[in-house]
Amino acid sequence: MEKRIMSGNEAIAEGALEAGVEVVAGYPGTPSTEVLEVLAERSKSLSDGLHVEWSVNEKVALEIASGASWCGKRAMATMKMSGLNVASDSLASIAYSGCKGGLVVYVADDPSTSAGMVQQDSRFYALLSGIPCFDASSPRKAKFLAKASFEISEKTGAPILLRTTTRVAHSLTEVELGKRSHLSRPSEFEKNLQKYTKASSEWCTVQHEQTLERLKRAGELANELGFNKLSIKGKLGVIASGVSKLYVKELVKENSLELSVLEIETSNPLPREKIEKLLTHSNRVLVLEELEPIIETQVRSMALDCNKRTEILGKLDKDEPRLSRVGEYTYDVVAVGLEKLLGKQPISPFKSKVSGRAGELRVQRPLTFCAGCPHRGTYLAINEAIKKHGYKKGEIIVTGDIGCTILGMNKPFESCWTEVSMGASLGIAQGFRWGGIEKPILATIGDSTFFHAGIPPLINAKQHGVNLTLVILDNSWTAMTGYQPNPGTGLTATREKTNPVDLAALVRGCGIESVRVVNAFRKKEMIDAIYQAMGSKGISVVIARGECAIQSARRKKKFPKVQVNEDKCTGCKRCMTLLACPAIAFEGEKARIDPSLCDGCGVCVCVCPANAIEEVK
Amino acid sequence: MRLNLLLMGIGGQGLVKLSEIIARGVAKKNLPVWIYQQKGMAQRGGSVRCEIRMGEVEGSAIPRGSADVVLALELSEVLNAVDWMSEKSLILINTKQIPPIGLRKGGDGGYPKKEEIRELLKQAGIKAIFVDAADLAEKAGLPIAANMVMLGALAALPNIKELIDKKVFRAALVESLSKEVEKNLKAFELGFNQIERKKW
Repeated sequence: MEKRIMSGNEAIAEGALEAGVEVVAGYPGTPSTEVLEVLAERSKSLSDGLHVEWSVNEKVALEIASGASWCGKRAMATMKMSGLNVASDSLASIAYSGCKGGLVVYVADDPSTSAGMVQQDSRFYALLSGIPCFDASSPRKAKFLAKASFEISEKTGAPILLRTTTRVAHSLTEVELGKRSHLSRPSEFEKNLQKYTKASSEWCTVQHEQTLERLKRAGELANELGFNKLSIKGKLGVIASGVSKLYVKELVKENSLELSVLEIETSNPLPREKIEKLLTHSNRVLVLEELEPIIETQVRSMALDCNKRTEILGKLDKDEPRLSRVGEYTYDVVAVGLEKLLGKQPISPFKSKVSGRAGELRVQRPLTFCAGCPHRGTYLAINEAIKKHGYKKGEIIVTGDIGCTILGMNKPFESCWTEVSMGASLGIAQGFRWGGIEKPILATIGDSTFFHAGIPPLINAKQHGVNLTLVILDNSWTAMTGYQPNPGTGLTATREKTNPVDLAALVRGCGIESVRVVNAFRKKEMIDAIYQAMGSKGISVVIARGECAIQSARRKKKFPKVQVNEDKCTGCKRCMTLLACPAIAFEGEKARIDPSLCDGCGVCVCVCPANAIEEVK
Repeated sequence: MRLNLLLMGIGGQGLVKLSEIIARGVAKKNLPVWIYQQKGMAQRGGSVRCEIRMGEVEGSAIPRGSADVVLALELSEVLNAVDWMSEKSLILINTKQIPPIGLRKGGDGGYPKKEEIRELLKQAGIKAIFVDAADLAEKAGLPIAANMVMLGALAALPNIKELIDKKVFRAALVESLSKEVEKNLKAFELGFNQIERKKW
C-alpha cells in the first residue's frame, strides 16, 4: 500500500475523503487549519461534488455540516477549541436531533498554547452535549479514527467530536493511503418536527433519552471495531489517552517495564468493562490525560464500584507529586507519573546543568507586524491621534481583538489593552463606557474577526448610543492563521471568485452614520480620520484599508521600494523605535533598509523627520 | 537504532523546508521518521522549533537531554535547546545573528555574544561547532540558502553519515526545491566540506 509522510491534520483530511465526505465547512484556527486547506486543495481535482468552504464563523460551519448530514450526506465541520465555544450553542441542540449522514466535528486543542488563547479541554463539550468523543494519538490513528467516526456516526445517528491536540495535529509520520469513496447518495430531508425542533418539553425529553441511547451504542460499536486496546501484564496499570500513550510505549520499551496498559480512544463514553477489568487486575493504576481529569474522575468512581482497593494515581492524588492540569504532557511528565506508579526511580527526568545560565542569556522575540503590513501605519496613526487630542501614551484605552491586529499591544505601539475572544473588543469597550470611563475609548478589530462576531456588538453600541471609536483594520484576508479568504476577500476556500461583501456598506447598514474609509498607508489621512472619529458623538467607525503584505506580495503586486539617503540620515532612530519594521536595522550610526525584506509600503517615509528615506528610482 | 535531531531557528529562515528535506532523506533509507513542526507565529519573527526523530521511536517528541544533534539556524536560538542537550549531543550553530527588533537600537544591547554561548556549552561538556553559514551561502551565490549550508554540515556529521549518505540528502534536496537548485546544491557542498575537513 502506498505511504506518505503526513501530519495529523492531513491524515484526518485523508480519512474523511476515504469515508466519502461530501460537505466540509470550518473556520481557520491553529492548530486545526490544515484539515480544511488540504480538502479544499483536493476538491479542485476531485470533481465529484465535494463542497469545501471557509465559513464566516464556526457556528455557521457546524450548521452547514449538520444540514448536509440531515439530507443524508457525510459531512464535517473543523475548528480550533475557541471555535467550538462559538459553535457550542448549535452543537448541544444538534446532538439532541442526531444526524443522518455521518457527521464529524473536528476540534484541535492546544494544551501548550503554542498559538495563544486558553488551555481548554474540549472533551467537556462531548460530555455536556451527550455525544461521543474520539481522541487521536498519532497521524496514523487520526486517519483511522476519522474514517471510523463517519461509520459510527452514521450507524448510531450520533454526531461525533473528533479531537486532536497540537502535538498530534502538527506531527508528521508515514501513513498508509487509501482510496477516495464516492457515495453519490440521493439528497433527502424528511420533515420530522419531533426530531428537528425543540419547542415541546415532551419532544425534548425524548430527544435527550435518544441522545444518551445513541452515545451508549456508539461506545459499543467503537469497542467492536477494536478501539481502546487493553493488555494485561502484572499488578500495575496505566490508562493513557492521546499523545501520552506514545510516551508510555517508548518508556516501557526502553526500560523493559511490566505494565498493564489500556489505551483510551473513546474519552466519551469510556470503555467501562475494560476499565473494570484493569482495575480488578491491578493494585495501582496511573491515569495519563492532558488538561482536565475527565477520565480520572470517572475511573475513581468506577474503582469504588469495583469494591476493590485499587489505588488511582493522576491529577487528583491526595499527596504530591500530582500530575498537572496545566500545559502539554511530555516524556518528562509521563516519566514522573510512572515513577510514582512503580514506587522507584528507573526513569529519572533529565535536568540540564546549564538551564539557568541559558535562560539568562536567552533572547525574547516579541512578535511584530511583517514588513509592509498595513497595520503598522494604523497603530502609528492611532497613537498620534490620541496624542493630538492631548492625551499621553498609555492614557487612552484601546480594546484589541483576535488575529494579527492584536500585535498592536507589542512594542513599539503598545496601543491595545485587552484581548478576549472574537469580536469582544467592541463589547468590552461598551462595558468600559458604562463602567465609568469618561475619556475616549477605541476598539480595534480585523476584517475577518468583524465578520465573524463583530456585527452584534456594533448594533448594540448603536442602539445604546455609546460614544466609541471602532477601527476596522481591513487587510482583506484572515491572515494570522495562514491567509484564508473571508467574506470581504472575493474568493472562496477553493479560490473561486465570489462577490465580496462591501464592509463599509455593511457598517452603514448597521445604522452607523459616521464611517470613514482610509488608506492605511497614508499617515496624515489616517491620523485625521481617527482624530475626528474620536471627537464625534456616538459610535464612529474608521475602516483602515490596505491588503495583507504577504498576500499582495504573492500576487506580485509591486510597490516602489525605499532606501536611506545616508547624507540626510541623522541617526535619530525614529524609524526604528516608532515602527519596529523587520526591514529596518542600524548599521553604525545610519539606518539601513534591507532590500530583500522591504515591501515598499512607505510608512517609514512619513515618520522620518529628516526626509532621509526615499523611493528607489 | 534511534536518532533525535532538533532544529531551531526563527520564522523565515527556511526551517520547515529544511525539516522536509531531511525527512525525505530519512524516508529514502526506509527508516521510520517522525517530525514535529512548531507553527503559529513563524511568519512574524518568532522562534521556531522542529523535532525530527528516526528509527525505533514512538512519536515526535524528543525527551529532554536526548537530542543527538541540535542544529541552530541562528546564534541565540541555540539557547532555547539546552534542555534537550547532553554530553553526547553534537551542536551545529550558524553564527548568523538576528537580534529581535527591540534590541536593534544601534549596538547589540542584550544579545548574547558568541563567546558566551561557546563558554556555556563548554561548561556543560557539550561539543559545539560554529558554521558561518551566511558567508558560505553568499559564496554559493544565494544568500538565502544558509539553511542548505547547514544541511550540508549536518550531512557531514559522523553519526548522520553512518545512517544516510550525502547523495541521499542531495537527491532529497533536488526533489524538494523548484528554484535555484544548482546554487542550493553548491551551498550544501560548501557546508558539507566545512565539517568534512574537521578532525573527530
